[in-house]
Amino acid sequence: MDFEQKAERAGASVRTVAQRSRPPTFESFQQIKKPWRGGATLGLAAFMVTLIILGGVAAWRSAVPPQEQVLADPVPGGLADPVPGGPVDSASDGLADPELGGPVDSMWDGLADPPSPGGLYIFYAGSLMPMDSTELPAASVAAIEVIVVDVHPSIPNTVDGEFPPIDMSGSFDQLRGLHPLTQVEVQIVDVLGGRLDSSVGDRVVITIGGGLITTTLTPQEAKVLGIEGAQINDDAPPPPHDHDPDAEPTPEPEIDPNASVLLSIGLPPSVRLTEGDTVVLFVVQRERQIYNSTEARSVLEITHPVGVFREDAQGWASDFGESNGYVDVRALAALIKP
Amino acid sequence: MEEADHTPLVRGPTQFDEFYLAEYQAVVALTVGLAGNRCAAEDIAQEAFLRAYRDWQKVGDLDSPQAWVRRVAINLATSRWRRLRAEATALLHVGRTPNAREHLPPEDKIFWDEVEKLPKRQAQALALRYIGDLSVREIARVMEIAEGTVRALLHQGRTRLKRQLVMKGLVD
Repeated sequence: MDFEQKAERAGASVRTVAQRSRPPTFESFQQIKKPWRGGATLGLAAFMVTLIILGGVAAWRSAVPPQEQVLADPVPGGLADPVPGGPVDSASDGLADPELGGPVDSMWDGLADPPSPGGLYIFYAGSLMPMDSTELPAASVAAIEVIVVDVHPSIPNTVDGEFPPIDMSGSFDQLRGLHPLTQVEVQIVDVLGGRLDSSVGDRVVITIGGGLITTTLTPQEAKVLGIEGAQINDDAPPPPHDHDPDAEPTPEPEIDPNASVLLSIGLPPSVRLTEGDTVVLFVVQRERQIYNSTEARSVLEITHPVGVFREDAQGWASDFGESNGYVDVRALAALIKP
Repeated sequence: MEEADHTPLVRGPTQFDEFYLAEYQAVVALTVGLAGNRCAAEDIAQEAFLRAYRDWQKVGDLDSPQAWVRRVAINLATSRWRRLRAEATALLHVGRTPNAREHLPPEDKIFWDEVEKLPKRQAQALALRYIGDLSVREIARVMEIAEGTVRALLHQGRTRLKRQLVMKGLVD
């Protein structure tokens, strides 16, 4: 095969892969167009797990009884694949079943995501995906009402909790398996459903995926990662040439060999939980694989990003549900098998 | 090779949602080719469309909003610190970062992995040519450079890329 044939075929392959990407729903634009805060808002809106309840209480109350359905890979603070064993990122893998019935996103008629039987939706990679409300209790060992006592500093999921050394060969892959973890100490107020070794009044530490980790890189390390001269954080404004194609490209920054570069990954844990919060957590005991190691540790984690609920004047709302709707978490908790 | 002279980058629909639906996957394809990581690629594509959305009064009146959004996307995709941030965000929220190229045939994955190692402008030109299926004239429009410069970038990129692929035994 000559080069041109090879190149044409490679291009066609990429186009085919890209066809699996569905455009995100209109909500993402609605959310991010309000207060523009540089790239932070987009990153937050596009990738933050958002629970949207369109059907409200009535919809999920009429949901079918719990099923033997387990989330394939519930990643706390991240997103699980609601289809057991299914690919995490495919939009055509059965997540979207238009036959399920339920509310439809009227804001984006042409792109309305298939309705969810439970009225629950999660944001994944900018797309709104339906979720059966029975999935959450089915995957949880317990639902507990807790008061947050302490939010520990976030750490990477490395063996020693330290930021891993940068592979100076230039590979970018060393960061791919790196996740921020945050341990949250909570006091149990009530066990709403399921079983837990601890009881009311006990303090337990729950690991929540996500958080903010920072490290200081040497200029050489930063260069390997392609971030020399840049401070990586969610509030950094986009480079002018990225924002305005008409503008002159920003010149490459001078590298001060004695300078250091701050690398931040993630968002502060306070985005999700702060001391004094009273929340309901759907939790699961899980063996968590540690980065770059065969070792695993047993931790109590939230079941799923939608496993954190906080109460407000109108009922129990999801952590990221904002004003989109509410669910009766106590009824959901009652569905957890003892 | 004879460059196709079709003109898909003509003035398109003026409604953002139509524009968005019509162009989204093509822009994601470009960012997958240049950024690899699918989540980061989608994030970058969405950011490009977000910018178009925010400035739609201006962008929608351009002769080619398609070229504008492609230009923003390829600039974002080849800005390494932007990619790092996008990938870090994906790490946080997704937990694992599926590499879109893992879904490609192995030889095609190697092809785009090698494109990614090229100088930024050469990689952009090749992605626009082979993923975007654009002519030299259209690439020049997207990149806002002269057609002669596009030809030079494509030639340089092809030469370097071919050398790498020959070494790997993927092309004659």
